[in-house]
Amino acid sequence: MPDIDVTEDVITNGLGAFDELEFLGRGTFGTTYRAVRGDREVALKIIHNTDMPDYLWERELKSLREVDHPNVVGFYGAGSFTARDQHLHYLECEYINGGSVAHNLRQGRRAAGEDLREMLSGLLAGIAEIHDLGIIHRDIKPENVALRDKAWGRPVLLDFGVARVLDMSTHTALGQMVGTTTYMSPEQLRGKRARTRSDLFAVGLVVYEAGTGEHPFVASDVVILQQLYDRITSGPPNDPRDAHDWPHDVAEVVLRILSAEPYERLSVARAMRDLEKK
Amino acid sequence: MMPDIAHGFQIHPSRESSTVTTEVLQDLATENERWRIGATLQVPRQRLAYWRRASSEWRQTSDFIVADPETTRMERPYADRGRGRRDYAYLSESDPIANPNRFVGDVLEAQEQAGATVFVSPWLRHGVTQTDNELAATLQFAEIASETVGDDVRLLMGVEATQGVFANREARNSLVNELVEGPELPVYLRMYVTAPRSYTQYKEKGALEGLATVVRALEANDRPVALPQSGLCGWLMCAFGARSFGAGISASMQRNSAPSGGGGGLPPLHWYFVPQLLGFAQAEEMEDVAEVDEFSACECPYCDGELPGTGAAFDAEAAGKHFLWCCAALGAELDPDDPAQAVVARVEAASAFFAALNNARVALDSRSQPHHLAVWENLLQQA
Repeated sequence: MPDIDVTEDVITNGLGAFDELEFLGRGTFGTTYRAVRGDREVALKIIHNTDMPDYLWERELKSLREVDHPNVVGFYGAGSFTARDQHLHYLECEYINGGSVAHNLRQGRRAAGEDLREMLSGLLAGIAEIHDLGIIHRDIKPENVALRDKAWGRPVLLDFGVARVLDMSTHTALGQMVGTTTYMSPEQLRGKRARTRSDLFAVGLVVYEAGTGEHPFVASDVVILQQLYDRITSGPPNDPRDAHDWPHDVAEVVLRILSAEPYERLSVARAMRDLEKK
Repeated sequence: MMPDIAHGFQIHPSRESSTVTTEVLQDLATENERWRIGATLQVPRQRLAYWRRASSEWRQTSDFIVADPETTRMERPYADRGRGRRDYAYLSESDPIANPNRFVGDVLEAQEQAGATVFVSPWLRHGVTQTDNELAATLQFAEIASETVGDDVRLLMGVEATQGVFANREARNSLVNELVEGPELPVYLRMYVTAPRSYTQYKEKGALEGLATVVRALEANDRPVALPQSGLCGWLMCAFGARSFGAGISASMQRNSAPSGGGGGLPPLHWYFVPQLLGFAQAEEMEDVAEVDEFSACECPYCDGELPGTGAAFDAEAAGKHFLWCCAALGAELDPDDPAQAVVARVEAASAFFAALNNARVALDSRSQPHHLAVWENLLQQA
């Protein structure tokens, strides 16, 4: 299925006119806009590439409505429309004004000290919430972590559950992997399905990157999977415990959840407990 | 509900009559109330009426009763699934994987009927085939069981894998990774050992290291481990975080003590557990062993400070009860805050005692020599 061309024209043709429609970015699964109609402001995500039947799309995303947590983006609804001969699926979520971790990193900003602790705690609380609903995020990365009020300590997980739903469509039935390779856990790289500890690993990557300014295992855009896997099993090159601006307990937890073996990461609950202990 | 799995010892009746278990439980309860002791009945091995009577007796003197469903018997033909096959519906199940809900429901019902106070989800043996089907089914059974039982029911997740799985790093890691993503239940874990030599303690280095890794990993992931039918090997694993271990008389080296009957073979050997050696010696050797200064006679109700009789005077049942008593005592020694300490001390003391025997030129039969101690000591360096 060829990639579709999502333009404002296509959207307004399918969903009607908006008072404001601002392009925010294009990610793995879709293109996101800030859409305002009356006093309702949402993040509108148009999915690029799915041939999933409409009823399945709406049904599978229904459970996302149950999430109500400060560290997880609010989900308002999902639907589909046809415009300019294209049938498209979309999502409506809470719009968070504060940029993302990726945006901050591109600006050369880094998190430090208590911000790192609050960021890690927030992300752990967020994935604990969605795991409780039986949902695995599967695509946690700096682009998918928004920051409320631009604060490192107030992270919000975006796009949760979408990877799972898209994985059900024929799009991935041909052996493609859903998620972003450089933020995948080693078990996903080995072709196993993502589990709760895969999300935990990705949280570790995001916090490590936020605190050091660099991905622990990837130095350039060109990634050879086996090389990436080997680097993960060797552990991060720089030990955050040696960094003066990392709280020691945060560095300990991040190092542990970056373990190559899922069981060595322990659980989300355990990571939260270890942070609270200090 | 996450059951509180305290440190303790679990008695398995194995092949002897349930009366033996009843008597040992009574003696333990009378003399040592603080020792935490459980009893296990192996559901398929006896008729329902038999287990009902036994469990009602055990209930008075044990801290918990496990009705072990031994669901690996499902691999066998129906006729070989045990004496209780006509009483328990699950033993008639044709395909547990195809009918998981019915199978799990029947297994739990059988345990309840038999008098269990702690329940175990059914399992299939992992590592026998080249697939993960048995493990996947085991996890599914545990999911179903945890959804089926009430919040007030103490449920353990039954798991069994071959020693090959434990000894192989990749297979072992894969097993643990699956278990920690399964239901958050304590794990009732068995390592299936092929062709055990009954008169020696288990000492396969790779498998023991693997078992220790698995136990530690599960414990760290909030899944306490109980090791049924593991004998002293299970006690050894308490140093790595296992909460309980289990043994029976005929599942230990005592099995060689009963007359074989029917003719043929060698005469039975009279094995006696020597706590100082953490192993068994033949009753005929005990007089020499007792000559060593470091030896102290067992004060359990079955020995009462005396050495075991020899020849026709050897009391196999008393020797068996003595072994169970010693296991319970070893379990009671474990400090929940630092269980490794007691295990390490005991193993070191056993090595020292064996050295003392050698120094005193007490020559034990090669089958009585504690060959396992070197492997165990080495393993404990990682505890």
